[in-house]
Amino acid sequence: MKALIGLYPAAWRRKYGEEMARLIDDQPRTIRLAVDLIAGAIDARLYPQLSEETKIEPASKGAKVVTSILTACQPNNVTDADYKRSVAVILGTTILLSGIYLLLKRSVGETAYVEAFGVTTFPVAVLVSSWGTYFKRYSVAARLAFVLGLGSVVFMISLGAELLSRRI
Amino acid sequence: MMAKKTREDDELDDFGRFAEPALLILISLADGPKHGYAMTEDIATLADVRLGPGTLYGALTRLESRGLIERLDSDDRRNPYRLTALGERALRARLASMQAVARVGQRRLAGT
Repeated sequence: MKALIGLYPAAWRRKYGEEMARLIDDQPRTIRLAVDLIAGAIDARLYPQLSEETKIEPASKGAKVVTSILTACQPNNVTDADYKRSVAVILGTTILLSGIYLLLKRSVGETAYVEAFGVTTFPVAVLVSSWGTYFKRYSVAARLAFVLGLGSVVFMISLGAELLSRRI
Repeated sequence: MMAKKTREDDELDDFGRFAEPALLILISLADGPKHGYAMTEDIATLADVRLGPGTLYGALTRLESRGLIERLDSDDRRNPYRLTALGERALRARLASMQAVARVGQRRLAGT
């Protein structure tokens, strides 16, 4: 049961992991406990409450450099509403792209391009959802470049894998 | 007459599904610092609700990030938490507004 603590973000585990493990030790193992831990982990990932300084604890000069890079990657000015919207965007975009994939599959057939598109539906949906969270601080042009650029990279990797698998 | 909502009362807003656990935690800490297990037992006794670790720490994280409680150092693996001055004011304000709502409800029921 304590393995479920591994589902929580690293910063969270560093701060509360031991306390929570102790608390789990004191409780009977039930399905309800497992569900509670999983729901808590999802919440901790969707709504990180820890402040920047508690997220990363630098131990050396090198670690400070890594810290500043990681801190720069943290989403800022992101509200609870933004996170909720991003979940809706992930679901909506996945459904939309999956619909397009099915239409393409029916009209064009199971070509490598269509299958690669099918594989990228979810990763691209996650990228699109980052528009209002991780990419929020950037300009519209930069966000477009991120989403389209990274989306294209994901598609190309999927296409490469698909073509390779057809040759084997 | 309902109590006017105060700024302290707003401190407990936006807790979503953690609103009730957060309030129970503040009440549990009102008589002194406690660690997670002690809080769980205390809340089970006072409200007949047993908070799971995921719910307890979800609420503790929110309360701590808003400065309503603080984590105390401990040599043990179990760190105790205590109410801050802001947390105490927020708890007083929330209990007062709940009391006012309960009074109105009871008065209305008595009138039927």
